[in-house]
Amino acid sequence: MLVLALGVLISLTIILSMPSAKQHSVLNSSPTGLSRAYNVLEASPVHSINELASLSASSAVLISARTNYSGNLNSLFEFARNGGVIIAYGSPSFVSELVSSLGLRGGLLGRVRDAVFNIGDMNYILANASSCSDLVLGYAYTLQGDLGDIFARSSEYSYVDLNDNGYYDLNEPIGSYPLGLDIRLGNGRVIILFAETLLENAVFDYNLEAIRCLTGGRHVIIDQTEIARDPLELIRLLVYGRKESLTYVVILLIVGLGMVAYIARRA
Amino acid sequence: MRWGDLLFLALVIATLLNSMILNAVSHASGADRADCLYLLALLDLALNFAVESGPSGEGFLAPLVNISVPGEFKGLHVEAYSAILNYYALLKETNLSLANTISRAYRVLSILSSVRDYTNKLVKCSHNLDSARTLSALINLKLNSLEEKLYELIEASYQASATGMYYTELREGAYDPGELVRVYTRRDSSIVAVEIYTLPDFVKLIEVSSSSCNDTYCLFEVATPVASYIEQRDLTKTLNNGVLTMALALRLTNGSYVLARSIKVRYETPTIQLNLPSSVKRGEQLKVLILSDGFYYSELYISGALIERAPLRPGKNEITIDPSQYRYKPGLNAVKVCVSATTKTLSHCVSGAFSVEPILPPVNTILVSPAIAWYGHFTLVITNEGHTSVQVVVSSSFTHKELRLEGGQVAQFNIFGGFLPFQGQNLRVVVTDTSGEYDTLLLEREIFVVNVPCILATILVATTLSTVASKYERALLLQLARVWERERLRLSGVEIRARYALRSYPRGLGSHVASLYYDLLERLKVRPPLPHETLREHFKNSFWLLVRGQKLKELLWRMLLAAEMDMYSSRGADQTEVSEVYRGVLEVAGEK
Repeated sequence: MLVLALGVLISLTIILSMPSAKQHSVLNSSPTGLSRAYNVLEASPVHSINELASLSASSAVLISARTNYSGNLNSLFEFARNGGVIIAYGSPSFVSELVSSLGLRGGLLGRVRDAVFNIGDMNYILANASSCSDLVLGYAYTLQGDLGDIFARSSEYSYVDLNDNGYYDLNEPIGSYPLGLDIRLGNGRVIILFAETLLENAVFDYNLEAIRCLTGGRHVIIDQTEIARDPLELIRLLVYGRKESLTYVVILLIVGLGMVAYIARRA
Repeated sequence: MRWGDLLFLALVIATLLNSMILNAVSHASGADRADCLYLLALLDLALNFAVESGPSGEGFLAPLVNISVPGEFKGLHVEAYSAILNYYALLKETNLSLANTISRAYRVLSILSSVRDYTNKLVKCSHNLDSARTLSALINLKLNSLEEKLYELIEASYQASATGMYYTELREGAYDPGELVRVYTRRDSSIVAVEIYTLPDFVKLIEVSSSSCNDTYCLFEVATPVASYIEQRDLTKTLNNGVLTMALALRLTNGSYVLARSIKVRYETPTIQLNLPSSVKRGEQLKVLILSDGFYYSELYISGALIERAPLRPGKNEITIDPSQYRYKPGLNAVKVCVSATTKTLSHCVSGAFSVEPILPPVNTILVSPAIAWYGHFTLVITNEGHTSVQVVVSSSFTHKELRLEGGQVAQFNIFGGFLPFQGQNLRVVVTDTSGEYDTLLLEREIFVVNVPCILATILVATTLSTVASKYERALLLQLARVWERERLRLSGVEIRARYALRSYPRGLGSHVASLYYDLLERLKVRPPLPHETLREHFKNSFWLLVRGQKLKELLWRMLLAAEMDMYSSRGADQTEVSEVYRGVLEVAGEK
């Protein structure tokens, strides 16, 4: 039993010592993570959407990147109504549901690729923004329908991969397509970008200027509610996210003492 | 390792692996993949702008020149888009002279071919060939439209230079070579000569300064260049489907020029067909049949050498080549017939080939395979059935002989059969005709030789070995078998006495406990230890696996220890234990 317990503790320590691999995690330093945004923008993570109620919305910007639609966005919209700015992006399903929840009618048309205005990879394309500077969006897509105010568009050389086969097909349209919306909600606004990557480490440097313009000096909060559903990620966030190293040190000490006792007993 | 340790290790490894694998997941990059159909679609759009929108389409085109495309397409991509941009540049030029405009327009026309080359390359690499061909057809249509626009610009430039001083007969389509182009000029104009220039380089080809005049007009008659002249001036590479486009210019008294118009001249290629026999024998005549569509002057070449010059008339023309004109080489010979350029037709060549069969000397060879060498040699008989003498060279693995054979003579060659009872030999016979009437004959055969003396010698040796030296031979074989079984015996000579001399040793040095141990081994059908083995080595090497049952092994081990005690210790073995162990082994063995 002692051996098993030690094994669990050591495993936990290893897990906690390694960076996160979750997409959109602030502790993920790979191209799909938000570690640079977290550090450069001096952002704070939120693990639960209810925490937004306690924040001063008028001086904050919430960056919400999600892969799945969680179903309850009232707290999110309340934050915007109270003067907050939300910059939301992520998977097509999340963005489509977000757009629908805001009362707009828009359905997914397909992935957008651009051979002319990209950063060397047709999946990372330039979006012309109506305000602030242009953005680089990764794995962008477009919606069709009654979308309201368009915030960003692709270049006239881009095409929509209707069947998502990674190649251009003859019936696929070439032209400029919406890549983002700017919606006024109460005293705040919701900027939705149709892309899976905006502030991730792979494109952060390209978008830093635009994001500073959009945040306008407000305090940046990064939504980690989706990440925190994973208990191990939550522990990681608790240990590293609030920059408290004491817990980490205590855990390491316990594990270290346990190993010493185990080895001594074996000898 | 205990179960707890294993579980601990497994847990740590699984955690490490899980963390490493999760960190390795990422999106696949699309940077290196060439989406050729997309590039075709962009090219089609760019040409659409060029054709439909005019100069305003340049804004769409400019960013496309330097987009990131895979290396193999980069050069062609830049060339193709630069060609279209040149078209836009031409449209924007306002200060060009008419001659320069026409020259630039022709240059753009020539470099637009790079767009077609690029299109073809993209079609080949597209993932959907049908869609690619559709786009390719659209691109070609738009390119044709662009070319028509350029021709219209050229025509407009020509017409712009018209000042009413001259008049030329309009001709639909192309002129024939040598045909007269009539230019009427006003008598009071300052036109002194009519000249023809190449396009787009403006190299002068023809100048006519004499004219016939009446009261009002002067007539200049200029003959279009003939085909032979075009070839002489090395202009055939500028022909487009046999048509040469030239500029007709009028020279004024002050030395300046007025461009009248462009003229096209069509040059034909003669239709020549060559018929040859598939093969001829050396020394026979070669009949070459040439089908011609006109009157031409031809030259016939065989293997690059000029053999005959002959005029051709329309229809069938036969040229006969005598062997004295050309010595054919045995094998394939290439034939080429070239016709010179005429007034209307360019020069042209057609090629063919025929094979020449050699004439072999009438020589007969007699050789049987398998060949039986009764006395170590086998025989080859060669008969010269011709009337000329031949040089015969016979060679094999062990023999090389040469002989001159006159007409009608017979020669017998004795060829050594080798040193093995059964052997294959490669026999080569070369027969060369000394008079030159015949070609060289080469025969190569693989002969199987049965060497009778070798067989007898082998049998004798085998018999001797198996009778006289059998005892020693058998001992040698036994020793070799032992080495094969990994017994370390030194084979310094044949130690046949080793086995016999040491026979008493396995029974130990007078130890009855060792005798009992060996007795048990015999009962259990285990081989006794070899002379070089200790009891323990024997127990470990061959005993451990052969005897099954832990109890039996333990009992035998105790007996071994007792035997050792009995053999080497001053105290000897415990007899009670020996008896007990002995009975125990028998009981266990009996239970099996």
